[in-house]
Amino acid sequence: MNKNNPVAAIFPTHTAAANRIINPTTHWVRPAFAAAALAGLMALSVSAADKKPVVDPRADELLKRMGDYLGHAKFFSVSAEVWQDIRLSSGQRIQAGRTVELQVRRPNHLRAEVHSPRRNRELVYDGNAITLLNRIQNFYGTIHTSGSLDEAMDVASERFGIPMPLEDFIRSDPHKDLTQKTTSGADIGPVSVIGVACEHLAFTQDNIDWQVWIENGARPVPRKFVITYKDEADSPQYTAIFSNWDFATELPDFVFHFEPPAGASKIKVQEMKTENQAHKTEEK
Amino acid sequence: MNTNAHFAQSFPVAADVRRRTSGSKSRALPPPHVGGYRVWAFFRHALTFAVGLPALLVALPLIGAEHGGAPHGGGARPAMSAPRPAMVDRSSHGSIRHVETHVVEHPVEVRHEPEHPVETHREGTGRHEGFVHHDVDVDIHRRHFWNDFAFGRRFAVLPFGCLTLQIGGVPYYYDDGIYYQPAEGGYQEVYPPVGAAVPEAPDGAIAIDAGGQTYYYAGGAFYLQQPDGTYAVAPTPIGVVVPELPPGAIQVAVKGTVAYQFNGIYYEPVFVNGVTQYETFMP
Repeated sequence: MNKNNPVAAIFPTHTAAANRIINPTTHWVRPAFAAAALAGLMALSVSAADKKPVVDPRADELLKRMGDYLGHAKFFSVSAEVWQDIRLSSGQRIQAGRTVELQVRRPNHLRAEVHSPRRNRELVYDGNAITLLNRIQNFYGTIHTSGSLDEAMDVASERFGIPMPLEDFIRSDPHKDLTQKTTSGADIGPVSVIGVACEHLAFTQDNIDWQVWIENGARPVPRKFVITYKDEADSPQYTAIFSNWDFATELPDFVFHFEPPAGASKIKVQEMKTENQAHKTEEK
Repeated sequence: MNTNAHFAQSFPVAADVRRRTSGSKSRALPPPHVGGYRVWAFFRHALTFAVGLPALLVALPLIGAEHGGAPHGGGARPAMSAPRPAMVDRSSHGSIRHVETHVVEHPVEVRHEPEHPVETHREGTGRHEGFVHHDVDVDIHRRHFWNDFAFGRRFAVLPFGCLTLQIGGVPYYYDDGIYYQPAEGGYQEVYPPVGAAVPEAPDGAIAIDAGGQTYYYAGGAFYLQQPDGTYAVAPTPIGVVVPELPPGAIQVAVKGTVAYQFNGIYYEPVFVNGVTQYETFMP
């Protein structure tokens, strides 16, 4: 019997437990710091692992299969319906739509047409020049360049700020370009896109998430493509739904020959401004 | 009566502590009476602190980042406290490869609250509800009051709420981007007079940086904010690219090239980021 502690006399175990709590350095601090050390090491290991993309091998395999199929195709045509989230100045969110028609003949021919009720634009690359046409206002402009499709698209995008519609699927190695900055990827599973059985893949990057739905079977083409811009207010999305994939109809030279429409005016194509550089223009 | 069980019912937390700490009894600790125990215990505690504290300091920000803090070591700031991302205008929308290139600030558009009424107040001038979005690929068109400007158009009465201005001793009237002067039988729309100062830039004016200054472009006029807070019509800067023509600009040919003319200034169409815009010039 503990004469000095009446509680201990009644609840000896309680007293022992209380003593352990009162003497923290001997009992609970050690496990706490051990746990913190363990958490620190785990976090460090997770951080180190973060530097490597975590892509489900199945998702990567399917994406590679799609990329190889498109990249090795000598020529193809495809249509896409594109929807883009827009936030109006009022704050209301809407979707703006347009259709894109692509005709690709590797290694250096491309025709892209973008239609919508208010816009009608065309971009043609024939191996020697990229020509832009604004059909509504009947203006066209030319950028003199040569090389492969990849090189021409780089010139258009990086020097003139001209986006090639759905460029990622036109380039020679779509898998490589699509996965350059991927941080994770997963095979979400099978799903149907407009009646076509597809496999749904989802990937992440620092600023965006993106998804692609690849047709099952012998023709692994993309059927749907979504980019979510995480770095923009309200995380708007860009959605493309593909149709009319055609790998059989040949695309002769005349498809990529640009003939200005009657009454069309040739205008300058302005090169992108860089800091400390006055803007340049591709002369008419 | 089992006093321990009774205590556990009355003080479950203490009982839990007891359960979790009871396991330590089986550990082979040196008995307290053994000489050198205090030194050994001190050494163990010091080691625990030395390893645990730095690890904890490293772990906290990383754990914070995992749970929505700023990515990649940006600290453990909660995601909700981060500022909203800026509205950006990607010329590369739809491209993964170029997702991080050509991201520029979205053109700033002056927007008044409440917005100017949309009703038609003039004969023969249909007003359209819509919106302008300067993303080139987007088919949204927002019309503003000054979109309906037509030089010389006459009215019997002025719009309600017009401002009265005196510029060089000449009377003008102003309403949200459109200027009027007295004319036979009433008033007529006139070009924006340089020097006119109005309390605010017109609704829908677009901020354009040129020559180290920020102009507000609306209705074919370039406004500059004045030290007193008003916005004054400035001479049109030459070599500036604007996303849309002034309302009522007339197509002309200059040296065989298509151009547009408005108030003595010429606008040459040019593809910028693949989209038709207009650069001011003087032939």
